Amino acid sequence: MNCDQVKRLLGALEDKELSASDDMMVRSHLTTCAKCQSELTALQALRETVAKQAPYGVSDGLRNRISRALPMEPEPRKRSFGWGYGFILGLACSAVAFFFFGRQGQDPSVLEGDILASHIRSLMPGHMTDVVSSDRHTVKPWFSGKVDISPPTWDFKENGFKLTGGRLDYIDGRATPVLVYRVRQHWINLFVLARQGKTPPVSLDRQGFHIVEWAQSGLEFVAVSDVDAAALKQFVDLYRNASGPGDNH
Amino acid sequence: MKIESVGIPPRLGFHPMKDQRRQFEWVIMRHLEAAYNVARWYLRNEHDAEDIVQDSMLKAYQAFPKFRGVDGKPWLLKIVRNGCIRHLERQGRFKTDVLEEEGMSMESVGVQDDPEAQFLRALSNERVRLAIESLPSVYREVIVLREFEELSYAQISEIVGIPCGTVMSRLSRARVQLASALRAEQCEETP
Repeated sequence: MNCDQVKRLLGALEDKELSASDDMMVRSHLTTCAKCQSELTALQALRETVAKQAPYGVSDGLRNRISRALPMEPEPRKRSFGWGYGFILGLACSAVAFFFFGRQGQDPSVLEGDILASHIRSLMPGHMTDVVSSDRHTVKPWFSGKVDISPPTWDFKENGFKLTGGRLDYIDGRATPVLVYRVRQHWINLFVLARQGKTPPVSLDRQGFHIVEWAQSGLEFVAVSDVDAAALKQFVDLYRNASGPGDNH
Repeated sequence: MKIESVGIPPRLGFHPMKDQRRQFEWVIMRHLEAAYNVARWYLRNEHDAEDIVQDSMLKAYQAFPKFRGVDGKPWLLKIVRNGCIRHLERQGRFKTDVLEEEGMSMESVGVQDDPEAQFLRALSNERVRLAIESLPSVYREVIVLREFEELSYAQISEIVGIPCGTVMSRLSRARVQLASALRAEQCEETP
């Protein structure tokens, strides 16, 4: 090995990434070549100096934000009497139902986690809408060509639920249209999934967010919001009762 | 009986969502410090680094059911890197075209008592930090992943998406350029 070849391998020698044979050849060259040896010493000094840099620390704020944003923060169990037993009973029932009806398609809890994470991410600045429009004739066509489902799009401005736009998210590995509504100071994300779901609306509460899921015209809908449960229910009723498929105009 | 969980990591207990969260904390969240450090070096800005890391963690959580590896660190750092690069590209700050000059060496002249090594060891942390920040992104990333996160060439190759041989040569050039940046600073500061 000549000096040029050795110089190219000094870094890998230091990083312990050389093959046994290269390692041996480089080391034997170093015993006879003062110039390469001094180059290695300089490299070692550089690495020592660089290693003195303290890593940038994670702020408590960031740590807490991430912890809150992840679905299902593990908390010390609350021992409130009625709720605790209701919760366990509910879990037992769903476990039994799960057992008997089996898993059709994807795991519902994972999907729910996806949707909640997506909702929370959408609340971060600049993430809410891809297409901004209060005109359902703009929002609905925006999805065509991007996804294979055409979400029925309605505006309920007169009832206080203003259509503000739409967005594409990845839920469960699929591009999923999301309709975005604003009610007072709150956002409602309405996810439209191409799969058969529960027919009557099912309400859930997760980390202070309300979730309502229902099936309608062969699609599954999931509305997520931090608005109060009554308002979200009103929204869901309006959406379900809106006549026609919403695209006949 | 139908086996439904082929390929899915074993879940403890019976609540899938809660277990995913617990496993995620065990396998991925423990590398939050590394994720933030790497993002901070990419973006050179605390605010952007926090945004990208938070976003990356949520993405990682969503993708976690598909994670099949053992070591979560390179997997997470790859997601963080992608987020950082996208952010830098949006601002036109990520340049992949670096001058890949050959034949430069760590020291300018071969001297017996290694003044180069002495000089390098005596540098202040602040000057070293500035010199690393001044490196082109493609050099800075391999320095950060190797020297701070102590990742192997194979792991860096996976994160950056380049062959191991390229990791070696790029790291070698990055170190040469870092040394010369440090020397240049010396020239400026000592008349």
